[in-house]
This record gives sequence, structure tokens and C-alpha cells, in this order.
Amino acid sequence: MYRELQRQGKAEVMIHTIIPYSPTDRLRDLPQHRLKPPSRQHWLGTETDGADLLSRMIHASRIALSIGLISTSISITIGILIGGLMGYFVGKIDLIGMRLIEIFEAVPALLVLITVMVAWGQRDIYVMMVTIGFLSWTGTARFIRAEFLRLRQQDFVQAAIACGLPRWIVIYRHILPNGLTPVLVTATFGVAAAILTESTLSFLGLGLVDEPSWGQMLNQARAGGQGFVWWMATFPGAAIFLTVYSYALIGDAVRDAIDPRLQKQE
Amino acid sequence: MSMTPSNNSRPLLEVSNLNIAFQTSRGQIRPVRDVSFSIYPGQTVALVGESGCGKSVTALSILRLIPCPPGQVLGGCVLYQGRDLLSLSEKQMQSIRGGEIAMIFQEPMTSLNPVYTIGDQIVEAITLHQHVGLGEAYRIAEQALREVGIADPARRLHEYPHQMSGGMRQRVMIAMALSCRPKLLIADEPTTALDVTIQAQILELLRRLQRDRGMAILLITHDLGVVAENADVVNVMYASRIVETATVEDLFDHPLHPYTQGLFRSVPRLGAQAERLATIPGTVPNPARFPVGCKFHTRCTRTRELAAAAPAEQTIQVLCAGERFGVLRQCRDDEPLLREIQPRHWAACHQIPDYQGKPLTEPHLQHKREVVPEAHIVAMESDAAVQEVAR
Repeated sequence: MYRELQRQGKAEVMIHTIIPYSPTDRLRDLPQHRLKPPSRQHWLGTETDGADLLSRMIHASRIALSIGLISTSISITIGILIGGLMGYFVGKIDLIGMRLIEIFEAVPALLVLITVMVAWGQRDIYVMMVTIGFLSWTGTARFIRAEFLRLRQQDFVQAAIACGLPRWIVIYRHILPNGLTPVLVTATFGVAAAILTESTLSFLGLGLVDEPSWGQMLNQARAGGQGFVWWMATFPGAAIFLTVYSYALIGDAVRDAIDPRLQKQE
Repeated sequence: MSMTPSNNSRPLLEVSNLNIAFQTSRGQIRPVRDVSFSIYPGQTVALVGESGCGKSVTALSILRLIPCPPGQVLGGCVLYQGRDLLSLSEKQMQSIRGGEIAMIFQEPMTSLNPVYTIGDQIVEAITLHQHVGLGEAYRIAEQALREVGIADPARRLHEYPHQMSGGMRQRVMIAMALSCRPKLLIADEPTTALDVTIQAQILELLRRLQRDRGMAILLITHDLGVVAENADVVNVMYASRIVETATVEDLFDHPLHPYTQGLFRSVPRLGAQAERLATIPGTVPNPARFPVGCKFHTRCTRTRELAAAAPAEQTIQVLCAGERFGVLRQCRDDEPLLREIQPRHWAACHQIPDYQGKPLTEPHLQHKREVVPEAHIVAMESDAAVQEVAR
């Protein structure tokens, strides 16, 4: 709309974003613009509704990253809470916690996710984040439990209790910062996994409707209407690949940075 | 040395017949049996014994730091200012720990949390027990560091534990323990992990702080030299029981129990000629398999000497370190109880005759030594100091 105004000379100053088109700039009434291959106006082509692919891809990265980061935060929080309690109060709580972990690990996460998205009715991004978070906390819990089992024997824990600190402060403010290092690694890998999960859901058609999403574009590449369109598969696919690969590399690097240092300190 | 009566006649801490047990896969182990002692305000009471005799468990159980699924209090009570600590709730214990009774531990290298600055850790202890703001807490922490003798305390507050040496970390632990002005300090082998010069400094620091604040100290150690310089009353523990209790002068002048005598005999004297060091034969027994009767009878030279001169029906053979020795039957059959052998000197041994004098009006020792003048503090290897210790 502002471009129109500019062309008509009405709007004088305009700040252009780098993203040339709005992601919802669908030209449904102009069918000749649909599914066009990359050209000068649309650098990566257009998709089934005529919207520019590049802009939609860039906006889709918001969805992917936000789902990745938030669901990983949820899963880490749950994992720390449960793993911390298990590792500190060994005994019955540890036994019950292990059974809980085993139950959640036995559940096929993707199927539950599909079921939830179907059953929920609306396509709510928050539902997706929470569900992914609730289904992926077990790895963090195992690591935290192992670290706590090691750390609770340390002298500074006994000294903290002898000072009169309440138990929960000892657990979450004294032991936890010492035991967070493996969680850094699982967190980065968890973000990559969450992005992949979200893409899978969108590919199956269960993702968000209005917001653009890479998986959704892959789906449209397959079933757009004219058979297979190569630009809609290649570019979003490359985006998924590069994002997940980058997070996996970050996770590797964090793990390598932590391990030798731990050995040197010990 | 005169006996200086303290102001109050009621003990600050009174441990009576404390019995602790641990449930293990191999059965029940009792590392503390019928332990009783008292600490009066301003007094330094030492708990002496070898490793494995139960002194650390006793100290930890005063503050209820023993984890209670495997650990269990079988009986007894710990009265702090009249309140039984064993029956308080966890929340009430949290206000006592650090605020009224503080504890410092053996290993300063690992007793501080490595991811927080020492200022943060001291301030945490302060804000827990005193209602002061954060800025005021940092000022108190800085003052506490200055009192324990750390130079440039304002800068040290922002340092991490790994930037400090062992002696400094122990000073920080003392500062943290004393920042809330406790009335009793439990020091569990505070200088065992430090070298001798630092040990002397830390002990002198504890003595000075005790004088300034009128604080009582329960000093747990295996070093008789430390006891000689710092303690007023000494309890000697062996194999979960207290075997001798006396003032420090009485103990060093004439130890009554054969174990204590053995300990003193094993201290080497500079300048003496000897081919072998004197030792106590045998080793400390495994708490899961204590000897029956008197716990010390397998290693006791007194009972062996007496058995050699006694008629055969009063002796029995026991095994010690692979060899057989004759000991008096009484020592193997019955467990001796602490009896008052001399005024204010108790020992648990069958072979010492009873005290024939007047019974004491109070069962525990209120004795406090005269203040040791500063010039008496030991320089490391002087002859006179060692002879003072080994008197």
C-alpha cells in the first residue's frame, strides 16, 4: 500500500525494509503470478498464492527460531526441576522420577504432537511450543540428575547446609550452577531438534496456517498444484538444513570447549 | 593454673548419652555410643581421637547434619540452652545453624562454592540470619574479612575461591562462620589440611576471636599439640565411646586411661635417643566389628601386664595383629563406664581404683584456663614448645 502511495507521489519519505514484500502479500486475484520460478522481481520465485518466496522464508525464520528457543527453555526448566530433585533427594524420589522419565521416553513424541495439534482445533503456536517442551525434558533431567549425584557429596554443599541455608536454596543456587555444563550442550541440540520437529509438523499440514513456515513451503512444493516445483523445495529445505546444522555445530563446539577445560581443572 | 569459674553455671551445650546408628547393607553400625559432654560459655572443649573413632559424627549430629535415612539417632539428647536440638523441626534447625551454632570443616580447599565470589557467599550467610540490607551486608562481610586477618578485604570480596590459598580459604570459612556471631563454634579438624605455620596462625586467630566474643568452641582434632595450646577441657574418644574426660592440665599431667597414655608415649621427643618409636599395638577396629567388652582391650598394654601377673583363671587369650596375648577376663567381658577417678577426672577402665573422695556436685567440667599470654604462642620448631606439648 505504501508503494502505491509512493508511486502516486503522496508519501514522501519511506523506510524500506530489506525484505521486499510482505509475507501476506498474496496476489490471489492475479493468477499469472502464481508459482513463478526465480526472476528479477521475485528472487526466489513465488508460491501457490503468489506471495514472494524470499520474504516468506525470512518471516518463517521467526517462527522456527521462536519455537526452537522457547520449547527448549520449557524442556530445560522441567528437566532441571525434576532432575535436581531426583539427584538431591535420592531414594524414593529418585525411583519415582526414573519411572517418570522412562514413561516420557517411551512415548513417541511426534505422534503425540500430531494428535495434540489435531485435537486442539485451532493451530496455536503456544500449544506447539508447550507440547514439544513437555515431551523433550528427559535428556536434561538425566544429565542434571547425574551432576547432582556427583555434587551433593562435595564439601561446599555440607558447608552451605551447616550455615543454615534452606534446602531449596542449596539445590538451585549452589549445586545447580556447578552442574549446568552438560545442559548447555543438550540445550543447543534441543533447539535444533525442536526446529526439525516443527518443520515436520508443518510439512504434514498441521503447522500454523497464517504464518509462513519452512515445512509448510516444502509441503507446497510437493502438492502445490503443478507437480513438483523445485524452487519451493530447494530454498526452504536449504534454510532448514543450514539452521539445524548451525545449531548442531554450536552444540559440538560448546561440548568441546567444556570438556578439556573440565579435565584440566580436575 | 587456676580454675576460673564462668559466669553462668548452666552449660551452653549439653550432650547426654548420644547414640547414633547407621543402617547399612551389612547391618547396623553404631559409631557413637553413650557420648556425654558439656560445653560452658566461653570454654574450649576438645574432642580428641584417631580417625574413625566417631568424633566427626558426634559433631555433625549436634547440628543434625547426618542424613537420616541411613543415619538414625537411637537415643540421647543434645540440649542447647535448654532446648533439645534433636527434637526441633528442620526450619528451627536452619535458624540455629550459622546463627547460634556455626561449624567449620576440615577441607578449606573444597568447602567454598567455586562458582560464586566469596563476598557473595559471606553475604548470603549474613542476610540469612540478620535482617540487614545488601549494602550493609557487604560492609559486615568486609569487616569480617578484616577481623580474620585478610589484607585488602574490599578487593578480596570480589574474588573467587580458586584465587586464594588454603590458609586464606580457611580464614574465609571462619569469617563466614563467625559473621552472624554464633555462641558456639564447632571446629572439625580446622587445621589438619594446612601446614604448620598456617595452623599456628589459624589457631591463634580462633583464640583471639574467642576472647573478643566470649564464644565457646568445640575443637575436634587428633593433634595433642593443638589440644595443649587451645583446649580447656579434653574428651578422649576411642571406638565410639569417650574413654577419658579431664581438664587439659590434669590430662597432660597424669593421663589415666591406657589409650591416652599410649597416645602420649607415642609423641616423639626432640633430643631423646630412641631406636624405635613407641606405638600402640594393633590398629583402630572396624566400626562394624568392634571388640566385645572394653573396646580397647585387644591393644591395651596395661591389661596385658596385669594378666601376666594374674592367676590363670582370670585371663583369656585374645588376638591382636596376628599374635595372641593374655588379657584380664574382666576387660573382655564387661564394658567399662566412665567413672570419676580423681576430682574432675573421669576415665573408663576397669583396672583403675575408684575415687574415694567427695562426689562432685556438678557432673561436668566448667573449667576455663587462664588466658595464655601472646608471647607463649609457638614458633615452629622450638624445643621448649615441643616439651611443653609433650609434658
